[in-house]
Amino acid sequence: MPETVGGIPIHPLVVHAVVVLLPLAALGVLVVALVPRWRTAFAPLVLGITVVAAALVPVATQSGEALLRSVSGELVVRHADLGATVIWFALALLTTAIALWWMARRERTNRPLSRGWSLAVSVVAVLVAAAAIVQVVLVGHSGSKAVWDGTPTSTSSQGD
Amino acid sequence: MPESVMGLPLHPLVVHAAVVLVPLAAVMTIVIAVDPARRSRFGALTWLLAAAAAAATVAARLTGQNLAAAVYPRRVPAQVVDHQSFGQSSPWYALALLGGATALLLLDLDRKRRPGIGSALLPSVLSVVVVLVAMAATIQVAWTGWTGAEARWSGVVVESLPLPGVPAR
Repeated sequence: MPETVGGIPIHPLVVHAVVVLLPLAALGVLVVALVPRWRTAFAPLVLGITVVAAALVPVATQSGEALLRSVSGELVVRHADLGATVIWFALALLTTAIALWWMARRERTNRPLSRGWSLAVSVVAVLVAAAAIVQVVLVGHSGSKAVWDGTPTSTSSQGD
Repeated sequence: MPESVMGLPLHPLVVHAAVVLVPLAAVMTIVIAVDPARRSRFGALTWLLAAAAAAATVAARLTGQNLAAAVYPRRVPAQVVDHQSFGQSSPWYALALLGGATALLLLDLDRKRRPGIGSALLPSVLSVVVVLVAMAATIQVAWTGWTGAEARWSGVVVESLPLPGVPAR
């Protein structure tokens, strides 16, 4: 994978795909888990978005590892450590999206899961989706901090 | 206008609104410029997006001026000057886009009120002008974003293989 595009590192660009798509996929999982009427219509779309989002996570982490050769600092290391966990959240989300898609398929073909199983899948899906959103926010914020922390934001804070 | 959010400068966050909304509003404006049926259906939505896009470019410019003044109180580096000169004119392009969308919708309104009256050429000319303005606005924002990314990231990665025996940093 190229490390730079047009002379600037690719990581701060490609992370946007994960920052947008993973929470979007998680919101989709929430909706499909909580609104049975929309499940049959939207479960395949949600699964599709989740697959793309999960596939882009390694692109973000690998480009981040490449950038690690050029930048350093405590905040960078913390961001890298946090970033390495995102793939597990993405894979958990992908698993729930597959489960919800399968659940929707059973409902469409008039072989719905039992109430207990439906409830269990939905509850797990909601928890995983919420955790994925929180984690992406934390990783994104730690990345922003690694880049921008310490940047003066007002002229009055200047010492001279 | 606040200058920071959660301790970080606001500018690199709000620019995302401009970078997303201006091209989106431009595409929608081109669609309503060339397709009268979609103009009645998506006209209001397009106008709102164009207005939000214009507001985003203004917010980006204000926070950017702030950031530059805070980071470079004495002399602004050449690369940042490049970005500034693009960013200073971006609001005008976004406002022209909003003006174009407004003109399209007003002309439609006028033609519905007074059918059969007015130049037959005017709608076509206006559509062509608006399409050009939309393209120009998109290119302008792309350049502003690119020079901004360069100002922040250029030179961060020095493309070279690590020397043998020298650990990569």
